Amino acid sequence: MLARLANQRPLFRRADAPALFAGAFLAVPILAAIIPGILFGGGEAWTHIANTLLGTYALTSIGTLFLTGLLILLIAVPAAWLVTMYDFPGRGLFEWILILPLAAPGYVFAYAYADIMGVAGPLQSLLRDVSGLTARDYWFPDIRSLPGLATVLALTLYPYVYLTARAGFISGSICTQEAARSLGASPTRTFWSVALPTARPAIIAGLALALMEAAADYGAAEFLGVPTLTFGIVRAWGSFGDPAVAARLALVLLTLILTLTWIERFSRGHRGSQQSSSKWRPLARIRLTGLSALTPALFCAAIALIGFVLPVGRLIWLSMEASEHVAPVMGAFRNTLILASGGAALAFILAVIVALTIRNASLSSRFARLATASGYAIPGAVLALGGLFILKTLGLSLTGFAALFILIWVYAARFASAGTEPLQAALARAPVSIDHAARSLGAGPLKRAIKVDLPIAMSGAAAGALILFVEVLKELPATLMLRPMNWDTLSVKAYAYASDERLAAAALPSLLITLAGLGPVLLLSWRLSRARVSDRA
Amino acid sequence: MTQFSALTTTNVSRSYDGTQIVSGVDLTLVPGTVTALLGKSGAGKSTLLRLLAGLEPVDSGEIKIGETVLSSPRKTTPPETRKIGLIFQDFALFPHLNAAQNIMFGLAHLPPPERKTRAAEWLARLDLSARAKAYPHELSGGEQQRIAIARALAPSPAAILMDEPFSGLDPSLRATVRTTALDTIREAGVPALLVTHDADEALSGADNIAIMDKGKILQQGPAQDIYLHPVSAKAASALGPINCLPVASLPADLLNGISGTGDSLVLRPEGITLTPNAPTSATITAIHFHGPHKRIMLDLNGTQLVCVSDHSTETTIGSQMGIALNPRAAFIFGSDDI
Repeated sequence: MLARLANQRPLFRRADAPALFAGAFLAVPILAAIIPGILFGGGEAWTHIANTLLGTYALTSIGTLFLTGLLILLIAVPAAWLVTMYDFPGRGLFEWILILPLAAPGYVFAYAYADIMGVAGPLQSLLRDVSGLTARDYWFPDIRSLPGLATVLALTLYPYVYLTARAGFISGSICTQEAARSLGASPTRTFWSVALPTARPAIIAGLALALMEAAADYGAAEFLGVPTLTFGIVRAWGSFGDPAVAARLALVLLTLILTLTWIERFSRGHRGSQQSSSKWRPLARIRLTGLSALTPALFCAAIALIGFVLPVGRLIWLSMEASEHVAPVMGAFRNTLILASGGAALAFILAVIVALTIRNASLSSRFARLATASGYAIPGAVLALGGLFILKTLGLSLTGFAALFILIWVYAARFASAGTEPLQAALARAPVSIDHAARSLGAGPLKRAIKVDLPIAMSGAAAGALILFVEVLKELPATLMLRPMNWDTLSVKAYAYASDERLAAAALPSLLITLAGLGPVLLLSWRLSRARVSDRA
Repeated sequence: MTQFSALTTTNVSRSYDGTQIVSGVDLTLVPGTVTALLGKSGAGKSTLLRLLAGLEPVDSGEIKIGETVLSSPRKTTPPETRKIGLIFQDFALFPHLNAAQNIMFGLAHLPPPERKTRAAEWLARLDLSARAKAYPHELSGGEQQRIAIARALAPSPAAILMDEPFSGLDPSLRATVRTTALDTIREAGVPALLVTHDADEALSGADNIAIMDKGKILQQGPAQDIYLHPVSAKAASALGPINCLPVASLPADLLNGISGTGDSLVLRPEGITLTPNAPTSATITAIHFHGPHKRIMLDLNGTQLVCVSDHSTETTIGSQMGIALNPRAAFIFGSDDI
């Protein structure tokens, strides 16, 4: 085996230099966040945290992740099954409306729901008006609680599982489902005995992604007052002023995330690659009419309403009422554009370099891909700690503009993999024989990269760049920790207003973030529908 | 026209994880001829092609073009400097380049005006001038195939390797496209290899055939020689269906004129002729109509035989029919060769 490795995967080739460089560049903030936690995180402050808070943080995080995951499964899997298998009024509309919550970061929904569910909010006001009770006479669910946080996170993150489950139901098992139905199995039995087991790896992969995002959340947890690990990391940095203590806390969070990815790997087991026919063909949906069509329609309508229409509608309402906040938000808007463009541009360049090594089995390219993937698994708050260490090591001021460049570096480390995916998908669609054809025509590695792989990858460029731009724009904790003084972005502005309980003022920046986020989400749903049309032809 | 050299492999082997995929292959590809590499899937054909193309290193043996060594265990000339053209089953046209640009891709060493002229010549030669600006997805399967051939031949390669190049085509198109393609390649005067699992394609399209099985070449030579003089039952069966029966069970008059020594008789279906008055007869058990001919199942003293016949002889199921053997389609081998 070793001999074969040596034969086919040389340690280093000149063509690997860009990949090696990109990988190293992306790995620096990650290592800068992890190593100080291991080496310097001890001391009195750590002992204090370990004795008093660590247990709470860890249990709260585990509890939040468990409840969020459960809620996501209960929302996403039935929704995906209904729109895939049945035809009922509004199905076509629900199919893509259910993706939309992906546009909003968790903290935005936390603000919207805190307002909707608050004592002075529309729901409780309506309840009092209708019943004639006063606020002290009845119990109302408290959004500022662990279940509240889990609900808010589940509502913004369920589309990950909805998308993967739907893909699993459509492609993974179309033949087996048809076989099961031809053998007389009812749709319900087909679901439990055939569709769910075959779609399971896809569902768990989506769930792992969603929970990784949930673990990285800072804004919603902080605002709803739920002491998760990420919340604790930012607070430890703020109150002890020592990033090393926060970094040690981050190690606990990373262990938790690592466990999640390990569970995902483990559950895949030997079924690593699920069989799927490359041809998409329309599954004969079961047409529902009358009362039987009502249940799925109501279920999907309820998710669409609670998961998107209600919170976004409330934000629009609040923004229109609070028009005096437009001016300060405009400055933040400009800063956001600059930072998001810078972060997206750097991440994009690195993503292109890493994506072009897709056919390259060398160790350098594997290292580059590993560094890219690790960045995505590490919460922004943790990478920001790495950024702080870099600043400290270089002897630079946290308040100066150097911090801005470090912030852009951190963005790139965190999101490069999100940009790599559409590029690699475009490359993977082209058969390997294209590469062989280019080689047989005399094209060396550089010419192949520039003349063949790059143009092919660029069909995914627009999507990659857009996704990166929006991811950076939504990012809160890293921006909060690393931005120079008075350099507020939309996310920081929304966070600051919300922390002051000025929810009406937080609505406009929150709404702008959500609207920007709709761009890639709509692109995604458009690409999904287009992919089918071309497969059908 | 430039004089091309033969592409040869000497004792070439390749294994993955201890499994021998190609073992000790000696193969010579003669310039100006098409050699079909025929075998079942898993026989090692594609791996041998990848070794010739330089996409993989050899474990042992040597690949040479003329006297120049391309592959040896110590050295593998990379595909980009071998000047060997490849044609793939999926054509592998560059999706972001139009037909003319695809052809020009391998002409980077020429000044731009000459590139254009050369591409235009190839397009005209393959009757595709009108499609020069079309992108691969706008071309039909046959057109994509011809662009792939033009792209491979335009840089004047030293050899051409084709991996199941016609199996992606509509069956109604296949024969015409194949004739055009192979004639164009023969005209180019280079050694050419056609990897295929289709015996008819090998027999009708190629000049020479090399039969590959389990990583080894069973037999190679001109198509007709191989068909008429197989070296073993296995080699015979690679080129079409055969009957195989023990010599001992057969009446001596049937075996008259059949060469070879051993205890097994291998018979192609057309090697059995229906001769109503022949001394040996068999029972007709089934008749399948195939248009120009019919396929007849016979029972000869308990041994099942298949033969083909035109419609000149009247046949009915259950009747006795005299048979004779055609020595040119009947061979005797030792039982080890089966």
